[in-house]
Amino acid sequence: MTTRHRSKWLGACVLGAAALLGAAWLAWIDFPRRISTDVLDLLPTGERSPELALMRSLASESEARVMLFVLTNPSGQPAQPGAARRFAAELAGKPAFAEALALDDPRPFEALGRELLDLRLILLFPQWLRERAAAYSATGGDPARLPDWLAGDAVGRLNRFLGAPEALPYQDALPADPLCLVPGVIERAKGAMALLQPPIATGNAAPARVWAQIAASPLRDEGQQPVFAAIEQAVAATRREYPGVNVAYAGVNRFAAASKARIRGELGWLNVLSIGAVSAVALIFIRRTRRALHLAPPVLLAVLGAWVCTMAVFERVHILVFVVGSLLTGVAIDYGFYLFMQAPERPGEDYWDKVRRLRKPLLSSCFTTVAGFALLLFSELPLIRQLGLFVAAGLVCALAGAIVYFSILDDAFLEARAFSGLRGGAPATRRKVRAVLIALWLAALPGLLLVRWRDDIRDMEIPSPSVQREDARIRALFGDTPGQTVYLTYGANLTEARNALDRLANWFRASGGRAEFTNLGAIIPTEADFQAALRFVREHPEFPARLRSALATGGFEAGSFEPFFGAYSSFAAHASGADLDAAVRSLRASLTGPLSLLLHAGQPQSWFVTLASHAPPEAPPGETQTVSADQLQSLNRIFGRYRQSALQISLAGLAIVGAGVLVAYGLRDGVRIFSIPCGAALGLFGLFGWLGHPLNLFHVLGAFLGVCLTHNYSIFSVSSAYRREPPPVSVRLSALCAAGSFGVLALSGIPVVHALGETVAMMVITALLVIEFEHFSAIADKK
Amino acid sequence: MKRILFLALAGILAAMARAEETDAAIAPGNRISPDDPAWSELSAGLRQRTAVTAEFTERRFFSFKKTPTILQGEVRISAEHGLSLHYVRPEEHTVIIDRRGVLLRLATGDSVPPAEPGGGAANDALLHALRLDLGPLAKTFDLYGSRAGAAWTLALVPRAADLRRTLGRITLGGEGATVRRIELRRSATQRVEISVQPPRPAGLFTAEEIRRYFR
Repeated sequence: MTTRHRSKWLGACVLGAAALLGAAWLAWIDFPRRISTDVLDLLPTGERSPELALMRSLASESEARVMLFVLTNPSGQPAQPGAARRFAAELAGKPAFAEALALDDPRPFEALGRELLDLRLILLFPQWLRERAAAYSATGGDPARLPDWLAGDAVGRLNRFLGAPEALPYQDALPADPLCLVPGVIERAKGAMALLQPPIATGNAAPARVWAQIAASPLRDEGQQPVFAAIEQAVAATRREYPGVNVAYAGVNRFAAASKARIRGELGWLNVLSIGAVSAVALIFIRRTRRALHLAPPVLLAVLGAWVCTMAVFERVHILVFVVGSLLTGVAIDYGFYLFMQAPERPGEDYWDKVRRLRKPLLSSCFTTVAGFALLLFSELPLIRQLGLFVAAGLVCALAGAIVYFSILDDAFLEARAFSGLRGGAPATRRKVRAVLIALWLAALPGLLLVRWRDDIRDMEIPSPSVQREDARIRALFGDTPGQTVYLTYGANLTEARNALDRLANWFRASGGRAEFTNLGAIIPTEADFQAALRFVREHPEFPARLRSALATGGFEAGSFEPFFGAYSSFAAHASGADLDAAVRSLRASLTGPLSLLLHAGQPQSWFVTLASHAPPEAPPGETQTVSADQLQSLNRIFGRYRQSALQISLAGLAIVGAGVLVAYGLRDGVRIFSIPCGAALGLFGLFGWLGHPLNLFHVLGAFLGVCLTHNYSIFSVSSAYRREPPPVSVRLSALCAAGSFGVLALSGIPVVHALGETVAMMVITALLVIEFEHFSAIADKK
Repeated sequence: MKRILFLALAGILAAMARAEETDAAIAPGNRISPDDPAWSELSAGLRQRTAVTAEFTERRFFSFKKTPTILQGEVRISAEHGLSLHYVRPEEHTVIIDRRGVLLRLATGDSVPPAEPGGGAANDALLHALRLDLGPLAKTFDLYGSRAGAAWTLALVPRAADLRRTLGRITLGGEGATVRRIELRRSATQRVEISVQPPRPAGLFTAEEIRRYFR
């Protein structure tokens, strides 16, 4: 066996072993667990901003798991009252559901009422005392007479309450609550109560509603198909008792499942179209098309290497990395084109001599691109980091694979078809076209000042209009109106969060608008109010006697109120600061259904939820420790931040690529080489600016990818220019392949993928035009 | 004469006397069946009055209060729209009870009060009782009725123990085709008495009345 043969065998063995090992390792991976379709996985776990950690926790733990159901009879009218309870009971019995509650079920009210009555002195008395003492203070009365005034005021209010509609259902509890603490708080927190029984239009019957929380995250597989199956079973069981009942439902999992299905579908057809586009280009430009199949192994090795590296480094990888990264083929094929389609410099030129001859442009283009993408590893955004590694690793594998693979071929040269007249006409014509291109570019530049950014996380998903309409309809029946704003007020513990809630209330009042808000601040006192109540009961032991006297004078059987006086006496004697925290936790445990979302007591954050209508348009100030729970708004803001971060990293990467070119080719040629990618990017963004086309993070990423690609073409073309040759056909082939495959991406229904595709495709076409019209002829002329 | 004496006694002796009266109403001898012909005739008369408006006085007796809390207003009974209690004093509000449940109408808007145990049964019972639809009532309640000339008393006692505990007893009294008294009685010291004045002469409700007092 000759050295040449040994080298071939060795190359084949290395490539075969690498491919087998990589494929075997991938086959062993649990893909459903490791590949995520969860939009929240696009955001970092250890985000520095507490608001994002809060959002993420909320989204994954509670709110996102909520599903809303509306039951109707066959004529479309609300189902019979019992149907909702039956359906809720069926759902609650399924492992896929953590909780299910029919909103016409009185039991949550009863349980909450009992809990509030039990905890009335710890939770409700402090706020009652603060409000009544403030009312007394407003009269200018003597502070020493406060207990007398409070007693008389309480009896007057009790008398008025007995004429209210609520008095009859509450009459059994009034002996334990003559201060009307529980009715008072229900009035104050009626917005929160509306979560259980939202107001209905006068002319309509109350819809039969069920509120439920699923056990798993709606963004994961276990929160989707098993849940949908459980719903089907529950519907079937309910229909046995209530024939013909229909169930409509809304939930994040419906969006996630629809989105996932369409992303998977896109993954398939995008790849097929991409391969089709590349094959069409090959068929047109390559003389012996069958030999063009030799371009496939380096690309497959690149994709395999990219998958292996990415899966080895990241525990969970978002599916979008593979959707976007599948277009790595368009870049990876460049090295094959360049290496395989370079004619031997002399008859019988050894393959490794050709590699040595082409190593400078190959290594320059590959490693500057890899360095640029490797810089993405420093991004805060997981998707960008994963994409950076995927492309960088894929390109290294593509170059190594191409070099080794073509070494095992007997004839490492693929001949292109000769097309006469493809050089763009006479030199004078080409000069005119160049002038027009430059004029267009100059005209586009001012458009950079008009660039608009729009960072919308919904662009990550494929819009599902029918699901959105159904979701909005069902949520409206649950009182979820577009004008309602939800705020999260957080703190390191409940006390801190509760104090912040007061600052939020002050902000609402100071905003001067007509904001109406409700939260559990109506029930849970601040630490200061609780301590003030403790001081009052100890400093004014005469209050119970004054109240007894006032009750008797007011026509009441004072002896009937012993349940209250006994509890008050115990509270005065034994209550301590620790009771408040325990009472809040006990209250939290008794909150069910939608009310359970209003309070979170845990680590590292505790928070209160505030529902506000007519809220001020601006964000609450920092001292309120409050963020809008509009997840969309928050995530969009964060996405905007990441776009800025990606832009900075891309610019740094661009600087590295540019510096590499300047070092390798000198200042004069380096500037000329680098003007193509930079000019294409600036011109394209200027065009987008003129067109008013809003840009996002993925336009930035696309431009970065486009810069790397066009930078390759620039380097490969300049090598030919040094030899006074036209740009190599491989550049044209490569650019058309990239334009075709990224143009396919521009057809995607996912807005961000569309953005990436259109940016790269347009950049590549622009660069190819510039190269075809002899941008580098000046270099050749001066050599 | 016996009826006059009975009514006079009822008028003179307030709460205690009224308690005794209603206790007498549920004497075993007063049990009636839902298809009792005498009550069917009365029921037919009531159904012919599709719209009734009258002033009422409501006395709420609480176990912890020595004297009742008194409310006044206008009651409207519609065969189609249900029962509307428009309270005028001490504070204005309207309680509407119809087939969809209870609606509370305040100056600030409408709201559905939280469901309470037995609330649905009480509402259904009231709506049926106002028309003396004894058939549906008999499914949930034992029926007791007594008549003395034009005056009649119908008492509904829930069969289920928990409903009996939460709802107590519903008693209606009337004269001819007119309901004059409604009592919701949980115990001698916990009850609501609604005394209805003779109805005003009125035809059907106007669209404006339906909008204001019903849903």
